[in-house]
Amino acid sequence: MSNELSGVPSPNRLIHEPARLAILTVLSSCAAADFVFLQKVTRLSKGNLSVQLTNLEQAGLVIIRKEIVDKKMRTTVSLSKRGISEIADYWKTMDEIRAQMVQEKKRRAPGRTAPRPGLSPELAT
Amino acid sequence: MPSPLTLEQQTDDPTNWEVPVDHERLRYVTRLLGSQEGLNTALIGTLIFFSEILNSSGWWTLLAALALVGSFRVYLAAYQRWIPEYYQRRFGTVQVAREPWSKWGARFFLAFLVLLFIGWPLAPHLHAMISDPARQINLWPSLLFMLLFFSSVRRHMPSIERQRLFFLLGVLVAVSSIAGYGILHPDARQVGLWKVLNAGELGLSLIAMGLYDHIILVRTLPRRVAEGDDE
Repeated sequence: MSNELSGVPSPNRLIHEPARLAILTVLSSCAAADFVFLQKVTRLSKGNLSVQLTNLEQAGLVIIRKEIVDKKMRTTVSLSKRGISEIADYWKTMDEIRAQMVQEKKRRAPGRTAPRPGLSPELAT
Repeated sequence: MPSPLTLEQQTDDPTNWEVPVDHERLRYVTRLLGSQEGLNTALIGTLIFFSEILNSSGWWTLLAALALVGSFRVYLAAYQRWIPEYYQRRFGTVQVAREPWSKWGARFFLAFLVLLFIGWPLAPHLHAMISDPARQINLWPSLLFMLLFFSSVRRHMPSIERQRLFFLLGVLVAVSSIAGYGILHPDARQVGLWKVLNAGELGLSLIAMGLYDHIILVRTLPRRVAEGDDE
């Protein structure tokens, strides 16, 4: 999961997309949620939410159940086991990135000049 | 900090490593709807209010008894049918994850037990200190909300939880003011309005807290969402 060029871990692109991250965040706070709630809380259009849920289902991150309640179709979505571990990994990666950024900020704090690209550290200071 | 863009407007920018979603708000709202606390807390508060003011003597006693019987019947119907149906229709459905007791819940329960067991024998001395030998002034809600407030304070709180904490502080100030007014102005203890507020302050504050949670849900979850298919 690590970016070889910079040494900074990179988050899972499938999860990092805003709409999908919102859906997964909601699902990680409950056992299951229906389509109506997901649509209202994320404020996505029906079509967009539907597409994002299909993408997540195809990636094995969520489980979609459809049932008929009072002659109406109700779609309920929950996280799969893989989804639970992937979202936990995602937040872990984000924490690592945040920690590295804090370290980088401290390193570049006033009084210490960051080396310019192409210049050796000795010349930069 | 919430993003100024809606999720529909945000793009999958590979250089953006900031968390693109206000995840704390999403988590908070999901848990709030799952618990269905808002309207249920307000209804329980109504019941407690009517039962509390029955204990304070006044012309309203009979009225409060009738209201208590009526509101109990309404509560049963609302708890079993109306509220779950309304929540489902208005906000959708969330099934709560079965979780063991949270650290906060355990801490609050323990502190409540301590308050109950220490407070009960101390109550006569406390009332003597504030020149209230007849024990007219209701000190329990102030102590309870103080406990609730201080057990809810954490170093890092998302803004939506911080706002609720400020509201809780407002409720604490309101209930303490009612008790404080009775302590500072002993004549006020004979006034009907003060008697009702003093007796029913726990019920009233639960109504306020329940309505606050409900308003959060109403404001966060729009009645109408985008219908168009923009894919």
